[in-house]
Amino acid sequence: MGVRVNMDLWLVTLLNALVWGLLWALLALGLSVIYGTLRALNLAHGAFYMLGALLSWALTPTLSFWGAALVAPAIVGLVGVGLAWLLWGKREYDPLTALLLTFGIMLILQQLATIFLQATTGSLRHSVMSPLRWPIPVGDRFYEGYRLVVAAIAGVVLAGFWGIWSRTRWGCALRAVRDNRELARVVGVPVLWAQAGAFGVGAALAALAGALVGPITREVSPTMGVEVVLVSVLLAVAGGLGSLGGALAVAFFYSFAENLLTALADPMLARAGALLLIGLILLVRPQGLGGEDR
Amino acid sequence: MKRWAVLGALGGAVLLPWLWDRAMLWGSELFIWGLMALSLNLLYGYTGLLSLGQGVYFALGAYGAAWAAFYNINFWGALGAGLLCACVGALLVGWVSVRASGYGFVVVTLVTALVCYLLALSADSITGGEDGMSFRSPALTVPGLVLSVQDLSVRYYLALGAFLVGLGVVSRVIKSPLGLAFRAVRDDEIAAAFVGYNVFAIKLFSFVVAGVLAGLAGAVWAISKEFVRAGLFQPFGAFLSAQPDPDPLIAVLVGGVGRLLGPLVGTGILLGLRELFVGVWPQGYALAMGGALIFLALKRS
Repeated sequence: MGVRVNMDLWLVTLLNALVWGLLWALLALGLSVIYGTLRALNLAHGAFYMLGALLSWALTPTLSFWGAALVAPAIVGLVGVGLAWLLWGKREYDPLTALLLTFGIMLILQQLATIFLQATTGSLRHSVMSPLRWPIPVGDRFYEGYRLVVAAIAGVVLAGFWGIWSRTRWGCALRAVRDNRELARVVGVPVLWAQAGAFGVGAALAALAGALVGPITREVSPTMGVEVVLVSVLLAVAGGLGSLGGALAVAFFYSFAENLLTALADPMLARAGALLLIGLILLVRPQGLGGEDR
Repeated sequence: MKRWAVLGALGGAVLLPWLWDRAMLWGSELFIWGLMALSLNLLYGYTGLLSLGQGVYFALGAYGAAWAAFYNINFWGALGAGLLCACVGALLVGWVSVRASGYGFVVVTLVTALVCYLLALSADSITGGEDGMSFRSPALTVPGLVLSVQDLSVRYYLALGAFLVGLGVVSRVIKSPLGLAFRAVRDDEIAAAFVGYNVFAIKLFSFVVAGVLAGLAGAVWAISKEFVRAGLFQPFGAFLSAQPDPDPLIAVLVGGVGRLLGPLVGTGILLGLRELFVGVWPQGYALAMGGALIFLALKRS
């Protein structure tokens, strides 16, 4: 009997690792794409994630959960395009200044969300109901079917993005801007559109992760993105900024490490341990897993 | 002329509590957070290392002092314990982090802060966790004098003294050949290495000195507040509370990067802004901070 229960626990742990791995991949991928085109490590990424979650929570009564989960990332994506157009445009920032800029964006978005929530609902934390009741029996416990749906959606979006990135002209343009901005401009890539588009797509991916995560964490709040952005920044850097494959691999590695450790130790320690493991990657390869050799 | 200005400012700072009572409260905050910004300025302004996890050394200093005070060690012992904790922490983290350059360094400092925060939360029997822990601060003993830190004016002079020590250290360091080496590393790491500087040692030294100064600020803060909490470790933690402390990075940026008194000026501006907003529209403060960051970044583009 004991062995049987343990098997179930491991299965649940692995499923959780898969779901979170896909969600972290959405976040790290967005950061990586933004870095590739704008040369900026986007500290506002957690704010986009938070906006996605809050917007989809706010839109759920009118649009149903699934409609909201579609519309919220689109809105956040447009906000991203607008921000990139307004704040970057033809300007160029050195890396640390770009970091300050995105830090400022993060503070403002987070505070606007706080003000909005306080003014409309009077409370900062809101619980989210799961849109789907589908308990899947795993041995003698149940696994939330909703999480598997999340995994499927995230997987499809990631695969779709991968296809666009590697097979289409748009993806090709983004890769060209990443590799050599001047040359891309010379051969006729609209660099300004490419960077605005990349920022928008990255923001939308983060918002999608936020919208999907609400029913899993069961709670949304204006500060939910703060810890998330720190972890995803680490994942994107350890994956090699601008490298999509690296970001994916590291996101899964992190998620599996964290969830397996959670089965053994308390969750805070498990997360700290997983972060340190990812940190080790940076020690061995400072340019990140998929980064180019220097 | 300059000497008179310095003496005047110093005299003003020392006499301030007699002129205006409320200034003591405000002044101790100004000097503690000014010291914190000063430490970041040494690291970022003079050595070019942008650390977003400087709060870790502040927290280590605070906890070192708190634990020592908890075990009834005297004032100087508690202060020393805080500095020691911050120094050891900065050495360990610096040993790893200064090898990374550019974003690598920023990310390592951020993640260190996150890891420390998670560890502090999980070890809540030692750290008090999110609720924190209170303790009784030992009395400040100088030969022939015993002063209680419950006294507001003692807290004020303690903060002023710590700030002046920090200012003295930073101004000595940046005027020395070592300070020139800091700036050489900031301006061009490769060139600095080429002319024979040991870039790793220089960065590590800057990191540790900045860490110890942040630890001093933290120890003085904890001794004055008689309270510590795990949230001190939290990266961006200042922005998650209702009444945010002045962020050292924004203070340095506002006051002038790489200027000796810039951090103090910046901290003063931030504290003044907070005072302004607190009565009228408390939520506006964080918006103003974000706006300031964006404005400064646009100016530097």
